[in-house]
Amino acid sequence: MSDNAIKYIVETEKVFRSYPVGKSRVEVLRGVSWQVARGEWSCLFGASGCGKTTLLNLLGGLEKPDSGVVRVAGVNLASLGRRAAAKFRSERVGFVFQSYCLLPELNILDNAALPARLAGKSAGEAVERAAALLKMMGLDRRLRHRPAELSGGEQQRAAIARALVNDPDLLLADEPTGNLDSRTGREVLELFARLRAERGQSIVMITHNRDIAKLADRSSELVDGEISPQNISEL
Amino acid sequence: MTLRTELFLAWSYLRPKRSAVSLITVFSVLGVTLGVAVLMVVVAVMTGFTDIMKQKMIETQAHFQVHGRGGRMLYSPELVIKAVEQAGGRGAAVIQTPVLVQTDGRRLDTRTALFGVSADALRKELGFDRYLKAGRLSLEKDEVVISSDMSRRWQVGVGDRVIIHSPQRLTSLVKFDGGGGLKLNPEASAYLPAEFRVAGIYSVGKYDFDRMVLFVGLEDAAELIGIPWGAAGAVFGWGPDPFDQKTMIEKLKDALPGYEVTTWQQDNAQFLGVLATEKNMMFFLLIFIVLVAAFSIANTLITSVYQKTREIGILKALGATDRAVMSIFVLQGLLIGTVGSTCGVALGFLVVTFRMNIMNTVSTLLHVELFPKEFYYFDELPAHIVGSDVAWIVIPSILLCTAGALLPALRAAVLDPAKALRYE
Repeated sequence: MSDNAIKYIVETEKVFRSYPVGKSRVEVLRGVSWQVARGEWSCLFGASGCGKTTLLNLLGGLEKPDSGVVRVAGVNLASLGRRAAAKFRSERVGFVFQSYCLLPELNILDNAALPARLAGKSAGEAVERAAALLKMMGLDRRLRHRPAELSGGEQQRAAIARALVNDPDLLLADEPTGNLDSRTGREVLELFARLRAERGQSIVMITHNRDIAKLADRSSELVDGEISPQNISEL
Repeated sequence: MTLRTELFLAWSYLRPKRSAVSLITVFSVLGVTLGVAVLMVVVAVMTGFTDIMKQKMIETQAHFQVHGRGGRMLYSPELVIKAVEQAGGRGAAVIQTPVLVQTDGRRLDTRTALFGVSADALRKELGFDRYLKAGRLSLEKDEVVISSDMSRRWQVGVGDRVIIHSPQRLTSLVKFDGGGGLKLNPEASAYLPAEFRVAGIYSVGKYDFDRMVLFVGLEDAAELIGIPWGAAGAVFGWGPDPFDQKTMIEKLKDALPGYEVTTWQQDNAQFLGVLATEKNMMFFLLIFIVLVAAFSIANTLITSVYQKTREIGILKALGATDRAVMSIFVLQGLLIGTVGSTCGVALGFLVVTFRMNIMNTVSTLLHVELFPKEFYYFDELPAHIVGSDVAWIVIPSILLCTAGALLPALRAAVLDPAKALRYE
């Protein structure tokens, strides 16, 4: 099946995930079945500790479920080895973190170009792509600055440019506005809306903020490791 | 991920900036630099010392010697000398024997080696004129050239006489009678010791040589030990380059199948072996400095892996493979080793170049003479940097530093990306 024929960019079926805590195990995800359509901006909403980040990590191939199926862009992530999972992350998904997670040793341009270089693209091509994205983010005058020299909003925009540099099928955003003031946070969310509208970018964003969740095309609530049957607009 | 990207990230992690990590990097590099520099200096001094010892050695020795097989006399040494000349060298017939020396006061010196040789050979091949302290370098009939040490011990000077006994002739005068007693050997011809007049006094400046060696003419020596005139114990040879005479020696061996040809290196194998062993021991002892530096690198990188756990998680989230993450940290060890070794070689080269200025400054500051001339034969601390020695220092140093990075690199490689991202 070709990528374009895939209706859902994300599909999970009865996904369970638990972690050892002392001698017992804590079940974080309990049979999560969830879909995100291609080109959709979907939001997972829930309180702290409800399993949002764990689900996001599963979608990004950073960890594997105890049982169940996690399929992203048609790829069953549970079947991937470490090397294949790394290649998948490099080529198919882009991560945006709450605390930006830019590498402090590199300037903004090198940070944004890094995933392209990790994917095997030449330094020149990677930098060219990154510069174009950073220009789109309004950071073209800050290319040689290190992260510490930028504001939180600028850092997050640089992180989004980094996430998009390999033109991923799916953008995974973990509380992207969590460290930003409301005005800057709104700018970042507007950027997501623009990316979805202009590029048809599939986005999965997690947040604990109900108002932010409502901005997405579709929002689901995760409660105690399970997707709530109610639509967030009904909550 | 390409090697260029891994190198780029490794270099970025090491790049000096105002932070503790960079300071640690600088100290790691310094550790390797100092280790390599110390190794460079010590090995250069040991090599220089060995070179000078070899040079001093061949100043008073033949480059090679030709003997009859099983210690046989050479009854026609001129044929051997001709073969030596055809092989590209120069030769001189020599008789070498221990003797007993008696002086007027009936003092007997039993530790003397007599060399029967022509004055011409002494002059041309060993440059003996420069060692002459009194009298003439003359070995005419009944003339002897002794050392200034002998002159002092025996209290004889130029023109004085000494009596030289041949131990071989003396021992041939008596034989065991079979009943446990001794009797005169009826077959032995009458023997009288030879009397010589001191023609000259030399001083080479080498303790053993000056203590033991005296020279007489070849014919006098033959007469003293009772061998036919014109015969010799050996032919001593000299070539154009004592350090590169393999081809000439092979030619000579082919031309003289019934003879034994030995080089000065073979004749002094034990001493040269001690020098080589000493140099190797110094190398192996001092390489431990670099080993300690490698441990320091391992320590630094283990700390760095802990400090950068979250960054490693980010790299993996962005698509870096385990191998790529491992390479980044191994390359850090390699970079530290390479930069440290390069700086070490440069520092070592500087110290070797300015060694006498450094020593003089330290001597002046501490009021202690670090290199007393009376204990050594040299005016300055010898040193010689050899390319192969530098390679033997640099390559193991870089390898040790890279090996030091392996353990932390492995830890970074196996980090679980999700756990690493949660690390605070």
